[in-house]
Amino acid sequence: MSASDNTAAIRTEGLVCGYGEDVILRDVNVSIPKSRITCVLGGSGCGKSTLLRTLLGLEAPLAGSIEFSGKKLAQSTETELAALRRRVGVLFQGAALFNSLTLWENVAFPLLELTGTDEDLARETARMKLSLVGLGAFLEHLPSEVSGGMRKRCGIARALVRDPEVLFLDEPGAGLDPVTSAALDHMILDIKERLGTTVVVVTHELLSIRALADHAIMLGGGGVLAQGALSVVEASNAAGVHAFFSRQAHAEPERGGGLAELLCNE
Amino acid sequence: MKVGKGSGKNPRGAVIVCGMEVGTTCTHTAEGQWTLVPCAQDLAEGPSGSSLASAVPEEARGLVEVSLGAEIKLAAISVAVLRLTVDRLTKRGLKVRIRAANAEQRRLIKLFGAEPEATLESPRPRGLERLLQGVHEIKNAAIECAWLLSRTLGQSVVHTLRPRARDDQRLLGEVAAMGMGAVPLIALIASMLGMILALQAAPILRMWGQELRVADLVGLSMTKEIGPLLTAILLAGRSGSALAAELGTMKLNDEIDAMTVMGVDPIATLVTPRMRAMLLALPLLTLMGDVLGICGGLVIASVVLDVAVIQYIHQTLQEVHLADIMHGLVKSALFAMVIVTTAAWQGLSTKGGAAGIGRHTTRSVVYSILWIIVVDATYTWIETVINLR
Repeated sequence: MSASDNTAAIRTEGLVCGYGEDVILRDVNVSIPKSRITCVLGGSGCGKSTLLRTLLGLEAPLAGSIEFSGKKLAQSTETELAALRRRVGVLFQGAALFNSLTLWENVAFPLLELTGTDEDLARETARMKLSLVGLGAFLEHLPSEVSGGMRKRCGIARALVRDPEVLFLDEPGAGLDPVTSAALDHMILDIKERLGTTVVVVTHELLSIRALADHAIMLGGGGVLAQGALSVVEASNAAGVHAFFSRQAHAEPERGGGLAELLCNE
Repeated sequence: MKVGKGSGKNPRGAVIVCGMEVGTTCTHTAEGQWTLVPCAQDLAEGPSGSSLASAVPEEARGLVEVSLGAEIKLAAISVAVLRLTVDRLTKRGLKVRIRAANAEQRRLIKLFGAEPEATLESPRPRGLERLLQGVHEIKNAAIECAWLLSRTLGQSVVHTLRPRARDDQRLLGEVAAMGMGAVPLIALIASMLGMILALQAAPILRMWGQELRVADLVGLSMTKEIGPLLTAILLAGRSGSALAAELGTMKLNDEIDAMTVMGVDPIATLVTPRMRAMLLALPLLTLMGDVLGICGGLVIASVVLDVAVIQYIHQTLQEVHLADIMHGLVKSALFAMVIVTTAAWQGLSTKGGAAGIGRHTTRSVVYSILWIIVVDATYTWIETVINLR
């Protein structure tokens, strides 16, 4: 997909991401297609979460621009930005549920806070979304009373509660067993199929990537190594891409010197 | 640790007691070579209070061979002890070599004893740069606090003028948690302080035959100064710390970010209700503290100084004016702003895990008390200057 494609839900141009003076990613020109699942890939510490936080407006870009459905974020007013945020749903790495609220209150939170929805209606909507992720029977449970996988699913239900156009999922399978992780992948595919939502999944888990990705953005070396259909990215010659997909470790050169040189009976 | 100096008869030089090696030894061979034989315990833990290198006498020159006994099983810490020993001996101008007894010892020395990588050091500012950074941080903190205060006060006005059932519900909950919970504590401390004030003043007042003046002293002290200050400091420790810890935990759990990306304003949802509750609860608690402090003074006046209850009340009403009470209440409203702003600022800037929550919560209380005193002093100074003109 080219950067000028008008079917892009999100597009960045010359984006530089980082924290203060620390630049993590440079010259990021990516395009996230509508109603598809895009996986943002890369090794640990390559800047996946930083890119996600910048796209969400939680960190200001150090340079470059982000376009959301053709509208540049930098040119948006605070009200427009708030309106744009209402069109996205996010699952954070640790689910980020409000620990003092029950699962249904967590899911209904945006409705109750932003729209002034009647509590009964909000509860019913929350129940529907929790049923969608298989948690219809756990409305009154606190986050501390359910498993890690269930918290993640509740986080997805909360992200979906206002029918977002774009759903961001930060490491949805992290810390989950393979079966639960696969069930979560299946659920994400189901959401895309049934709701037509654009899904952006930040992950480094190969099984999830192969199960989910329509489109992939491979990060590494402080920038974008490759992007496009998963098969295209996998076939890329860029350094680091092959190693990532074939799970090859970088061989550390053996360090010499030190005490070994003082051994007299070698 | 025993240090032995041999003449080459016992090149291994180990001190053996009942068939067991008990200490590190260093011997001088006829060939002019020094042999350091570390015992297993010294290699595992390092000799207590000194290094293995100190076993090599000061007069040693030339080559020192560290000879490892076959019975010694090396671990990472043993190799670290060896490395430090080699470094210290090299600094003394000695040449060092290591004689391993078996392949396993050689393998471990190669594995852990390789030349260390250069440590990546985070750039730490020094001198003027550090000073400028400090000034910059203070400026940023002042801007952030001013922004938080203006935002929460503005939102408090909006929420009061355009009430929403959910906000009012939250406000009542906060007032109950913040205010009602603090009632017994403030009641006890304020009444005791009233008594203490009266007791301290009693001997002097009796000496001058001015027993009735105890009502002036307790009444004015409590309403103008002690009541607002005491209540504010107690609430800074009780409710301010709770708010800072709650916000800090939410920040570390990404809950604040989750709210932001939902389009829910965390300040309006989490801080403004606390500001409104504190602005309501603190003056009310101060008023209660004033009354109970005066009552405490009344008990002492009547029991110790034989002042009639009606006389004490009459004197209090005559000397404590509405303006004095109002000054106290205005102060307590200012203190409420200080407590919530400081707690929110510290809570929302929390970083560094569980220890960070503790650190920022403590700072929230310390800074709140500091600023309460500064605001109190400034207010009293302005009030006094105006009154004197």
